[in-house]
Amino acid sequence: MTNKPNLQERLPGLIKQAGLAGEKLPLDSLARVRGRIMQRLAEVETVGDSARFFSWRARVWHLARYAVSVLVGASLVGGTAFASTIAQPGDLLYPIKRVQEKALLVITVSEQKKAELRTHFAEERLEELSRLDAESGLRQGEGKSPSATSSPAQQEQDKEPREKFKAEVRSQATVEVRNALTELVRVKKKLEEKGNLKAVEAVGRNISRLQEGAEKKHLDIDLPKEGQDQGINEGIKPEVKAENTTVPGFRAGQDSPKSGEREKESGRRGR
Amino acid sequence: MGIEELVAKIQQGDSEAFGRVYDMFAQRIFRYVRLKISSREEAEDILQEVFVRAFGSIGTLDPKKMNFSAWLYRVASNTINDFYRKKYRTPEIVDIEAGMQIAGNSSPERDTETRLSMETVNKAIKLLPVQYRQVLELRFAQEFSVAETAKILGKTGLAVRLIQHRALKKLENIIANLYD
Repeated sequence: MTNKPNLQERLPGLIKQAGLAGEKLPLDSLARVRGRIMQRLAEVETVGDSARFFSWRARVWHLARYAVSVLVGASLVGGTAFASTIAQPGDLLYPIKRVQEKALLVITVSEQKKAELRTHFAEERLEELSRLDAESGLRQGEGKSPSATSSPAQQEQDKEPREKFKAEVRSQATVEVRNALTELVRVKKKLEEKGNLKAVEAVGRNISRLQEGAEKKHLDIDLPKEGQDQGINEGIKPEVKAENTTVPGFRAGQDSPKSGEREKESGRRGR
Repeated sequence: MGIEELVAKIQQGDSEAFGRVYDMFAQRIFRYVRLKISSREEAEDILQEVFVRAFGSIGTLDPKKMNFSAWLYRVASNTINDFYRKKYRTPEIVDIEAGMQIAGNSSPERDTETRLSMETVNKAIKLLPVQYRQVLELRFAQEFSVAETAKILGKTGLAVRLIQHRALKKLENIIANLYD
């Protein structure tokens, strides 16, 4: 009787050796698969955001963000929820609309989707401004004939709060468009580094669209010029002058000659 | 840095840690995938899918219930099964045992002196049914416990022990017949 191990006893060791000596993926294939994995992860979410999402801390944060969206949603039921989304500056529900937008940004994890949201909100501001301009145009078109009950001075007095309000809306639009463009440039740069050309193209289209909208409204979008960001300012003609007005959001030195007089008047009224 | 530390870092968003885990496990997972997937290209695609899924669901991993290695193999098993469901609309591949002809008069005990080359053992393993190969790979090549192997394959511990026993018996017979 031999003391040597029989075959069955040797098999586990042989199987292990066979496994170690088994088929291997070549290094270039390993690297290629690795690259594809990272690209897919970058497309869906940023790597950091995805991983953070699944840690216990991120679960709590996610729940908090979900709670924000539930609370905002719960405060708006039925027609109110819809009404707030179409609310315009000056409407009662407009502040709720802005809160909803902020809540959406909070619960959005993906940087790219956040940038797209900011683009959408910035375009919404431009749309609000357009409606306001159209309304102003209508009012001017309706006109106040000299035989109207209010005096020219009164008409001038009524005009000022509207202009001021319009300027505030304009200022808000400028800020949001600028923020959205800054965010989009940053996301575009990140996507370029990751080699995600499709996403880069999509972000580029958003940038162009916003630039066009800002240009039409003659907004003063003054982004810092960097090597890669020069494309941002191409669509904005530096020589475009803002409308003559005294209100914030416009470049100094372009106010109308009468702006100083208006400011004095408002000061006298104690506003 | 140990695997537990790397996993904790991945759960915190460390992509470098994820890359290191990939480097540690890619070859092993690839070999495991190849046990069942004959096409090399498809095996590479599945390997990619395994790690993408793993990254996406790493937050669900509870290290107290399952170690990372076993968990990753479990993800691989599920990914392979999903691939088969999609491709062939059947959850399990054909058992190749039906095609095998093993001579009945061989004796496993008589071959103790045989010098076995890795080539022979590999050849013999490839002739086993896939399920047998998987259990042997997980139990002996990767050294998972019966419980871990059962979790990976979605089977009971008893089923794993039974398959292991049959697999070793069959492997012995094949090797013995290869030397006939």
